[in-house]
Amino acid sequence: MREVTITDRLSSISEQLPYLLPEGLVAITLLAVVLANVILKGKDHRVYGWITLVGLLIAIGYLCFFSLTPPSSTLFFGLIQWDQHSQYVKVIALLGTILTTLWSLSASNEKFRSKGEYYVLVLGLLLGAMFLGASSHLLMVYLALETLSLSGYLATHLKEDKRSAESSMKYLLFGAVSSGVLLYSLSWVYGVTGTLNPLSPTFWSQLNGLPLLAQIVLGLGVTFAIAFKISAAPAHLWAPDVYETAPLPLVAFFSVVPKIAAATLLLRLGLVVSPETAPGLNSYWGTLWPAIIVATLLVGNLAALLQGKAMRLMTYSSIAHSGFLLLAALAAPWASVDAFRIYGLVYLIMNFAAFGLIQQLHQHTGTDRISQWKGWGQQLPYPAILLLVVMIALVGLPPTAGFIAKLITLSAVFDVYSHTESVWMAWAGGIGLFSTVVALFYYLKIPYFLFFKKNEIFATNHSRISYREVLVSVLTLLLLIGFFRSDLMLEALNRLF
Amino acid sequence: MVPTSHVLFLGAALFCLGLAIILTKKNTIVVLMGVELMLNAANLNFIAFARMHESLEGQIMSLFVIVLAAAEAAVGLALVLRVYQYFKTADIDRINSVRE
Repeated sequence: MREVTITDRLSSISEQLPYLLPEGLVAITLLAVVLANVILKGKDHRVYGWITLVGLLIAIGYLCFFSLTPPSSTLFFGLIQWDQHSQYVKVIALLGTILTTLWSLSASNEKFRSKGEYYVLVLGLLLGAMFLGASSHLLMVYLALETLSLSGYLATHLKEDKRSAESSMKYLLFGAVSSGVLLYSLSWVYGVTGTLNPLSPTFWSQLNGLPLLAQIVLGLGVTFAIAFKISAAPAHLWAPDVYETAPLPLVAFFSVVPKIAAATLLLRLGLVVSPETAPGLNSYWGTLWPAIIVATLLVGNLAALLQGKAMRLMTYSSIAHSGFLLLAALAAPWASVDAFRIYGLVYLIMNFAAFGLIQQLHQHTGTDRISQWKGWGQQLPYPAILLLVVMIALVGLPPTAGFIAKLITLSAVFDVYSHTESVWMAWAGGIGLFSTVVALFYYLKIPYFLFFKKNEIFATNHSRISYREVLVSVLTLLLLIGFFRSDLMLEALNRLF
Repeated sequence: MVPTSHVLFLGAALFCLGLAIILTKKNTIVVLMGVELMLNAANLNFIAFARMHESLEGQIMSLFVIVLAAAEAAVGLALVLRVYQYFKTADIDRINSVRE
């Protein structure tokens, strides 16, 4: 065998660099914002947002229309995987960031919108999510998770007030402990298998040879860190505080993009853990994740029932939805990957629409307590009707794309159940169905107060139509189109990847 | 040469110390020190295993961990400073304003 020299390695790295051009463009945009900040001597200016927007549009345009396909799907000595899943995450993450940027630019009277560091942190989060969805090596997974987390801790404190300092501090402590536990578990995984590449054939068979107790301990350690990012049940405690204190466009980003990236990681690992390579581990995989999903769905939905504030409600709703995302990702290796893709896309659209509308109502009414919104439906018919549509989509009822997403996910779960007859999968699907019924109560509480309760005293606070309103209308329209022409949505997804 | 198992025991002891500090101490800075101990326990393990497997992967990993631990400590201390400005304390139990 020929010795691999440094020159060979360097030339193969430089050959593979063009396939990372979308990430490169994002990184260049980040540096451009930093540079602009230096040139303007750190003064607040709207130009940072526009630079970000232009950079992101170029990146997504390149990704959708000119992207090169590498000869092999494994790049950079197995660190990065280039396949349909990684492309999907990149497009979704870029879309989410573009929406966040547009929304931030239109946010009136908010200090953060013209701060350079805000956009730097948003782009940092985006880079982390893009790499997390594409990583096929545990070193890369760790790096991507930390990029996401470090940007996230700082971004939480962007409002620079007392409460956000507290919640970002707690987020950091929780995150630091979880990454410590993750690393220590990974070090043992490395010790047992001799490799950090979960796609290598020996990796799973070596792990499979471990005694059951060791498997459970290691599995829990690694799972905990992924669950933390996705705010799944045992590690969701940071989410409500952070969501309440971070800038709102960023909360919408937080609640979608990192979750889809981490769920893709789960999907990619799930594709490798098959009954042939790791029979014992497979049953363990098929028990642990459904258990987490059941817990996440229950915690998210039941806690959402008790919330009186719209923002808190959306926090728990996004925890519940991450349960569904995980369910779709878990089912994907056996059924088809379409369920995961459609759920991710629809979730992105409806979550951004919901957060946008809630902020709008909050600005008009001066409160986000749902019971205070009674009767406002007559006063503000347009946003109220949009909110009704979005809430129906979040429950998962026709005539919205939310229905299609839930239907296709639950039918994928049923497929898995009929193939494997796994009791855990049946439980997860059943709880998913049950949670949709529960969701009906808390989501429709908002339109109920808006339209069916009467209120006489109005402190009207009319403002001109901002282009956030246009943005939200387009998103809501997309939800309706997604129901009546779901074939179009699927075709667009399939053509891109 | 020191046998691998000795290093692993040292790593396990460090990890447990770190975890104990995190669970029992109330000062945020001390908790961050506990996290640092956990990360270094993982580093020791990575290096010991890299020597055992005669592969470089573990050493590279621990290099990255060192860099990221520094970044995490920087962000953590910056946030502690901000929290201290608002609350005049670094005691986790007394930093409590988000709850309604």
